[in-house]
Amino acid sequence: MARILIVDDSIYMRQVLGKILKAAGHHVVGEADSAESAYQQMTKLQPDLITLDLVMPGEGGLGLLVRLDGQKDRPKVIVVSAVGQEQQIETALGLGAADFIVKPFDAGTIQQTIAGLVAPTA
Amino acid sequence: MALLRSRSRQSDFLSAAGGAITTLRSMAFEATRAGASSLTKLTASELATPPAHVSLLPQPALSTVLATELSGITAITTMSFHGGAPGFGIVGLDEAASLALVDLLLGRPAGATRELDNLAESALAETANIALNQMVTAAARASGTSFKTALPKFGLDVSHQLAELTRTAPAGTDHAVIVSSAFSTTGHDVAGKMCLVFHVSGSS
Repeated sequence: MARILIVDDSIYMRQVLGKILKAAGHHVVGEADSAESAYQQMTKLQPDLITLDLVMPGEGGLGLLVRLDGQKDRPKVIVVSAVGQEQQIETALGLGAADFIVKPFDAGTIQQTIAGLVAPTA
Repeated sequence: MALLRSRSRQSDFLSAAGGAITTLRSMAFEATRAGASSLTKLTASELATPPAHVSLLPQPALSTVLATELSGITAITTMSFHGGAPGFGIVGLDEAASLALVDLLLGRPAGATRELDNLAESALAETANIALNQMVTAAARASGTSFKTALPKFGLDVSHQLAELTRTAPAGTDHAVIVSSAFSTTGHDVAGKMCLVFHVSGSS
């Protein structure tokens, strides 16, 4: 089970992701509708993992990845975005995102990706 | 320097897509197929989409053509983009289709949604955002260029939103390429229209 912060400016998408994550037994510790709000909440909530939208008001998801880049003990980040062009995917992964899921997704993809990241290593 | 890069990318887009109608049609097919595919996945419904229609027209005619194309539409989500060529995308629905689509997206029984609250508007905007981004990604792949997309804007004042989008043509452009299509779901009252508009230079 992982402690997860959902970052997306769409209320609908936060609700969809929240249901999928809770159904898989994860603990959604918080939700943020902007990168700025996410950064503030991270300090307080100490999530293991963040699902991060890219196009949001303000600095956007890439801005948060830049802030986290190189930080010790940073949470893992899975980008979940409607943007699916190769250039943007490469940029996000280059900034330390652990994976990139293009919307629309199915629940299984989200659950398997997270399971692969938070599973204890032998 | 940035302007030069922007012009270079636009030239790439025009030579790859604007120069040949067959390439444009292929791009339109890929774009609408991608948009429709995402809607199918989001609504878990079979979706029908007629072949996309592609037209090139002078900039001043754009607002009139779009108003005609979107007649009967009462809710639209628009999304601007730049890169390969500046432009915008639109997904439009009439009132009944908007309510029916919200039922599908939120897993409600048919007819349960009677008005568009914040959650319903967010669902419609995000769904259109996903479909439009899929269309733009397909257009980028087909034209060998890339696009940067902006935040989607959902609204019920269709004529105002269209006026905002078509008020001024981006510098260096005088024509518009419209890729338009429609969609409808089998067994549900969801039918709508989607289109991409690319601003281009007619002299290219």
